[in-house]
Amino acid sequence: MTTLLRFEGVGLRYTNDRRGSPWTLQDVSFDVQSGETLGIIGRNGAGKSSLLRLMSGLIAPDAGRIVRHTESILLLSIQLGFQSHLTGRENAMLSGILLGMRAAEVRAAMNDIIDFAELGDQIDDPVRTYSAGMRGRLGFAVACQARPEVLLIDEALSVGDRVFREKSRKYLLERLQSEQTAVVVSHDEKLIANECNRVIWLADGGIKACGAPEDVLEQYRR
Amino acid sequence: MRFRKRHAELLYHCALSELKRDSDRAYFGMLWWVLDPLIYLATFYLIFEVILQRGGPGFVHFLLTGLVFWRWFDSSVRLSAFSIRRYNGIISQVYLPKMLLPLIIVTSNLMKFGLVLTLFTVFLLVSGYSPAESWLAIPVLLLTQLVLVVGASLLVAAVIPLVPDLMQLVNYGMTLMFFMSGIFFRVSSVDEPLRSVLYFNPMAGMLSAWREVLLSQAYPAWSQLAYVLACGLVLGALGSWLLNRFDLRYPRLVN
Repeated sequence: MTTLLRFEGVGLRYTNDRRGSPWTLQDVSFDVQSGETLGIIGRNGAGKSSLLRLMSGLIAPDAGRIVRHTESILLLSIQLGFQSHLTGRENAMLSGILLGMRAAEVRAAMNDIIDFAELGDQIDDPVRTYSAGMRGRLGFAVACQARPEVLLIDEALSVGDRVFREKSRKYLLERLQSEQTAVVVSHDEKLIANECNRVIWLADGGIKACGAPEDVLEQYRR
Repeated sequence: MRFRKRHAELLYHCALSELKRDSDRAYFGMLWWVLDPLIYLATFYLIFEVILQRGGPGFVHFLLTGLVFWRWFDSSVRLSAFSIRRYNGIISQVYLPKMLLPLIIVTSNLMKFGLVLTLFTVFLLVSGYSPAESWLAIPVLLLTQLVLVVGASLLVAAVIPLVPDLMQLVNYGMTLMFFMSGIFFRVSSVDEPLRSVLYFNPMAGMLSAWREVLLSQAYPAWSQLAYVLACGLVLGALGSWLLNRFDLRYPRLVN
């Protein structure tokens, strides 16, 4: 196992926030090992999403440092960059490239995307004619094609009807159980307990506990 | 900045999407790419030629040449000011080199301008101007103005999200430039020292060069073009430095 990502005393502050402590995150240190699934739990506003944004390299920390051994870290985003005036196919291309793929890769995966999204010929209709469910399915199908070294997942990604939700959940679980390195933010304690190798409990911008899922979840529930 | 080959693909597909958005929005669709500049030009024609009866022979061509090339600069710069905010939803989810965003706007605008330029050339030919040897300089002029357009767009795109209040200044600045670029008058016939002051504005020299080449069948003043190019490079260097410097700051600013 090698370390792909390490946080060393990382702090993040929003200077225009004058309520209480300006620090959204303070003195956060941990690492992500290749192949593991790391869970992050915590109440709303604990800094979970900020942590993901720092990991994915969207923003820089205000204190400490982040050591990256890979540049391929992706926050899984559904319907990223979707434009209602473009067709499903054009959106799949745009979204795929935004998610780090090359145009040729998206083109090669297009049939799989259409199949997974269950869109058939409607792939060439403008997305504004789609139902919310169709849009979500296409977004999910494209996002599935991204192959980052570290996959960041924020909350349960449930889209579409019950059948598709089941299908997408099954797909994600398969990904998590594979060699895929992943960081999952979720309120779903069952998912965290079953799928994660390690769990971090984030509270008030700091790490309250870190370790095996059952131990951390037990403290968290108290 | 982490610039990759895929970012070139992204530039292309995003610019295409911008173009398709325009054509999708209105009932007339792509026709607006032509109608919009046509109405713009017709308005000025009406005011100066019909109402004010200014000018004299050749004034229409003089005016339209100025307006066509001014409009390319003006629309690119104004749209670029909001390019980072326009892609806010995307840059808060995936990393993109922020320099890409004004370049998307400039590219889609360039494609639209290409159409206008083609129509304008047809207009020149139909109305009695024949291609001269001086037209060989057109690619040089296009490239020079492109450098200026890109440079100014990068700078404005970088600065406005950092200091939103400056947008007012940009608006006034562009209006001032519009009147001082010699769209309605010949900068070369203004008396010194005012003439040198006016030529400080790179668009003044740029528009003179276009008229020389297209209308007077003469080569442009190369030193003036060199000055325009230098302005574009300086603005662009400053803009890209800022965009890089605050690359990871913008997603936190525009939320």
